[in-house]
Amino acid sequence: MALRKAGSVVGLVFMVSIIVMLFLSAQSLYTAYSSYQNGQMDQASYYFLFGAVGLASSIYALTKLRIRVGLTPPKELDVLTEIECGKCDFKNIREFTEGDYMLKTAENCPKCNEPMIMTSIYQKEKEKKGKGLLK
Amino acid sequence: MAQTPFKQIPIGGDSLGFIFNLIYLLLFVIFMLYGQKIQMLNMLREVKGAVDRLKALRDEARKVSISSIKKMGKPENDPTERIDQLLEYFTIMPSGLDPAGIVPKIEHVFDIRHKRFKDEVRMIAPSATDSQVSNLEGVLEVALGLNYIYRILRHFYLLGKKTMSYIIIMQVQMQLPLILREAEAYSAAAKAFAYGQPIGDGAGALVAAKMMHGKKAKKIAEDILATELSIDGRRVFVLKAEGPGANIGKYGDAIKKLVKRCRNKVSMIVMVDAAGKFEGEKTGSTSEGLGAAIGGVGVIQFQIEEEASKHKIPLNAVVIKESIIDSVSPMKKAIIKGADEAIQKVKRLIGEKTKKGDTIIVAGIGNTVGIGQ
Repeated sequence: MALRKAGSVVGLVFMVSIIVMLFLSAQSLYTAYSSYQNGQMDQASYYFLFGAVGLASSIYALTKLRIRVGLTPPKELDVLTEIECGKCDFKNIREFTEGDYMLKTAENCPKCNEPMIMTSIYQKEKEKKGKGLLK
Repeated sequence: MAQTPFKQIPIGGDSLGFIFNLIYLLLFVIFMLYGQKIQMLNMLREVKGAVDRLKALRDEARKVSISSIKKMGKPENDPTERIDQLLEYFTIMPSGLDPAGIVPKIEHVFDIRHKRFKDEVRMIAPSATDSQVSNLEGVLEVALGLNYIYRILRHFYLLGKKTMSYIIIMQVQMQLPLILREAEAYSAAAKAFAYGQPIGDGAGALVAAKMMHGKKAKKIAEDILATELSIDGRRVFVLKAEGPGANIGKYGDAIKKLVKRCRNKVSMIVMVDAAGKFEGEKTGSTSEGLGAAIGGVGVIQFQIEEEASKHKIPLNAVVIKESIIDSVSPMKKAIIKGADEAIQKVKRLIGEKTKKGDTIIVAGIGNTVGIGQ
């Protein structure tokens, strides 16, 4: 309990520091802009550097602080059952239902009325996204 | 001096510069003195996230176990307490101080474990069929595995937090991606067992099932079925664990019995199994090799190797490659294609390495959940 309390205090201090840093960075960037308009180039670049570094590091810290636990239940995989007729090559693919298993005799073929067989049960794979630059 | 919209706050211009310099210096001192500690806290936070995720996965697997047992077993009383007890179940391996004769001891311990687990499931799920009992066993094994991973990670997290030991925290944090990947796959396996869907590990069993399909199968050892076929004039015995329940079977005993029945005149044993692939290799690709292709604790591998070496029977292996995650998740289409490819390889091996009239044993290894014969 004490540990959890200490942890939340540290978290709060972190959050406040990041917000202060964000505020100061914004202030610094604005001062850089004003200095640039007044022709004070040295001061402008000085404040711009501080503002940019501060902004980048506080955004980085904020992304690190985000809740990433993901307490959502694990995603359910779509599983398909492929049923084939050995006689006329009729094929039917449908969602898996409990009781299905590979090589089980299924319902009769709608074309030739012969019993069909569950030839494959497999997980539906997601479509792959286009290759990135580093792939 | 530049005008800012933050006029109400008495900072700006030189005073702002002074504040920045001060912050810069302070940060320098803070990072110099507490840099490592900040890093450790950051790592601990990551580990905590993983512990929470594992807890969610463990709870989900527990929920699946309870609901499956209630659905299939129709117990009179609430099985939750009994299931919670099973999730804490442990097995102590025999002492290895004197390794001679350790294999039968390990086999004995695992036989007892298997029997005890089956009996427990039968007790809490009285209406379940044999096939459903095997599947429920699988669900509970997954939940037990996830509970074990969760407890280990939580242990190291709390130990690291207590001792603030850099080495403990760092080691755990570095292994997190692998641990979580495996845990997510295990979680998918729980549902696969509950619904009776085939998993990647059953690739070898699928090969045997396809070869046996339509022929008469006979039980020759615990949970093992055998079918006699004729391929190019050779007598081929195909072995597979009894499906579609989640069985693994005792292949060691089955091969021993078959070799004895054939009066020790077996020309070749071919073992087909799923095998771990390296990153970059294609899921479902197949390859050939030598030796006993079988996983587990090593007891069955030992028994098969002993039988093969005693009678000088060549041991060949055909493997279907897949990742550890694929092996416990619902089967992928690429693995089914790999099984078809493996059948061709087995047939080619039989044709090339044996002659007409020879006797060959083909063992399709793997968990046979969702695979009939």
